[in-house]
Amino acid sequence: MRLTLRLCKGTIHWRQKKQWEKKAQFRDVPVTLSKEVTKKIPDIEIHDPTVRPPFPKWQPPVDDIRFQAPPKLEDHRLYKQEEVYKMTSQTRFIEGLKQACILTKSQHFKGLPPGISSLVGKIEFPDQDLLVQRAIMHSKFWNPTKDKLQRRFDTANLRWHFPREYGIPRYKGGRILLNNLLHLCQSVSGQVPSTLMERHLIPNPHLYTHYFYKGKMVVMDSLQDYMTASKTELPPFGDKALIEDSVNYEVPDMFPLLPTIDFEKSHLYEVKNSYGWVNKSSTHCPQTIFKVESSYWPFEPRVSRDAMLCLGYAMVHAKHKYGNDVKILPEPVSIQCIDVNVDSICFIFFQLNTLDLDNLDGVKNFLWYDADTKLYSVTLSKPWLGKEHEKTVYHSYESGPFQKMLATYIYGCPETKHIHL
Amino acid sequence: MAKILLKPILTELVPMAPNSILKSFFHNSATANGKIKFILQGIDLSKKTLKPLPLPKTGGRGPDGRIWNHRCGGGAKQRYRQVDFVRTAQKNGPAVVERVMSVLYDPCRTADIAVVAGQEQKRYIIASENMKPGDIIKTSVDIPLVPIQAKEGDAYPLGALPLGTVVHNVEMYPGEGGRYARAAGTCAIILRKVQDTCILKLPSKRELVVSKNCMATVGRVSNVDHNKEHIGSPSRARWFGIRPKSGLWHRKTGYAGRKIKEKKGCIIGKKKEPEPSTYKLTL
Repeated sequence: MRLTLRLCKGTIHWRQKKQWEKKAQFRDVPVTLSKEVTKKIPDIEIHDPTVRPPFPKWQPPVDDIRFQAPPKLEDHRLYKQEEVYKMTSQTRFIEGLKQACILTKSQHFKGLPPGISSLVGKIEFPDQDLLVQRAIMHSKFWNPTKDKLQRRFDTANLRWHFPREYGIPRYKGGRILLNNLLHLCQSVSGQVPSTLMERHLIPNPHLYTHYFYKGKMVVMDSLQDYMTASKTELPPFGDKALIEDSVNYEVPDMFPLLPTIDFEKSHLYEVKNSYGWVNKSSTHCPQTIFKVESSYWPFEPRVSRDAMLCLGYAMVHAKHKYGNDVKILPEPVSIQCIDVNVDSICFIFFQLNTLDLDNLDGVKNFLWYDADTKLYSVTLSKPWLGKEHEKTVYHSYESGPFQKMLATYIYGCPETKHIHL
Repeated sequence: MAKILLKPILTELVPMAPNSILKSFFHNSATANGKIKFILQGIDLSKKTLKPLPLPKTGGRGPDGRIWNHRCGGGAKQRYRQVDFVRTAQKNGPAVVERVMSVLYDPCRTADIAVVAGQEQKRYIIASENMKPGDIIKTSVDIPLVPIQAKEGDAYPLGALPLGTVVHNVEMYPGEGGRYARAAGTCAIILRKVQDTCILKLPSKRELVVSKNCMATVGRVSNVDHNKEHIGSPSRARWFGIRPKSGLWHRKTGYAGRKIKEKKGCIIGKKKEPEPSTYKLTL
């Protein structure tokens, strides 16, 4: 091969490139001045010539919603500088009943209070059990809604593929059941006319109150399904001797947790006390709260949440009655709550004796609860076991829960005095 | 005119900081930790919750869309629980006391996790071997002269614990959260203390040299029998999201002239100083 000029040039170009890569690299060591220089001129400012000035902030060419900055929290109309605890109907207490008892400063009893347990089974109407069973069937099957339900899975056979089910969702079923049961309760008005004459059933009452726990504000904001209000208050569940005995009761401790662990911290709130009315009406005494629960919570978080709501209603009524700065009430205020699920009913009875909730000494409030009362029981289908287990079966109806509900509904009416005797 | 013509040439010649060019969307710390999945969904990971977060399947693909790991694919749907690996307390103050509320299964890791609550904080931590609901656990940052005889589940700095103690969730740099011995049934052992450092034996038999202020939890990680569990069938492995091997790889031995690699030295937990950035000139 003849060595031409072109042939030699080709290699030179490649070598130049390689050389350039090695020689044209240098490290950017930060600029340091010697001590002698810094001693002479201590306040010297070093300007790095390689650092570029920052780019100017980009401005949108057109005024459009896409380019606008999100609104600030400080600009909200409810914004306040002080941070508070906020409780809604979604807050679930991690310690359950114990936590609710500390927050409401109450002594708890299992079962119904003596005034109501004496009323259970005393008043009846014809075909009572049949009509209650019809109400259950209405909430489970006889409504024409066909919504997409949650896919089922069984822990006994995790890989079993259940077909998609369409039917009545949990909240809607519970609401239908509550409506029907309330309708059945109202049918007693022939025997107890004051339930119809003196009472007022209010749909979707809104509770908005606040109180101070250990020097920090707790705001309660919740929407209930129904509430009954009357001209007169409910008679107290516990007598005076029980109130005096409660001084010796010690509320359980939950160290190392604080009872405010589950509250949300918020800057958006109002300072007001209201339980539904704008102006004072003739039926201004709240008596019974009705709530539909759609979640799969067990009874303890439900009871503890409802106890707090009862405290809220009782507190607002006491403040309207005795003034905002009242601590020990001259007469107790009592509220009851009925919490309805698709298949069970919880009963909560709350009696407010004091509003001095900062410390756990002295007189306590009272809390009765009768929970885990199932209307019926269900055996779910297990198709992998055979043909007999293909269908879900609803069985063993119990009449007790509705009798309790009827007793709580008529409690406080003047006609019931004859029944007690 | 001359100025306008020279402008594009000058911009190429003027050395620019390479970080600004190379730092693209992909290769940053957020993607390396797998956080990009949550950032794209609009979830703020700095706010810690007990609520399980939605975790989309990657199929072994990285954020650039290419396969990074060939052994991933399919599996049951999982949700991510934000486990807190940091155990801290106030210096020269009282120890932080917490209570174990429940011990749960986590699909994203082999070990079990525990719900722990204290004061006004609820969080997930990695459960130790004998942890059960109702237990009370402590954390302290102080190093006393006499070593502490600690209970299982408590967290102390390595300098405060006696030699030979079994620990897990060991930090590499103080205050950054545990990094070593977090898998099911694993533990590290404190071998010796030299001046301000502690030397540990890791589950991989390698040695770790870290500062004495690094925190560690006493005891072994839960789910001890995890390594004895038999998956049973290749189809069950797919339920866990494990894809079969290619079948081409074989373990190398000293036979047939292959070199066996030397044993690796100890890992030193000391942060390097940032290297000065390099500039390149191109034609």
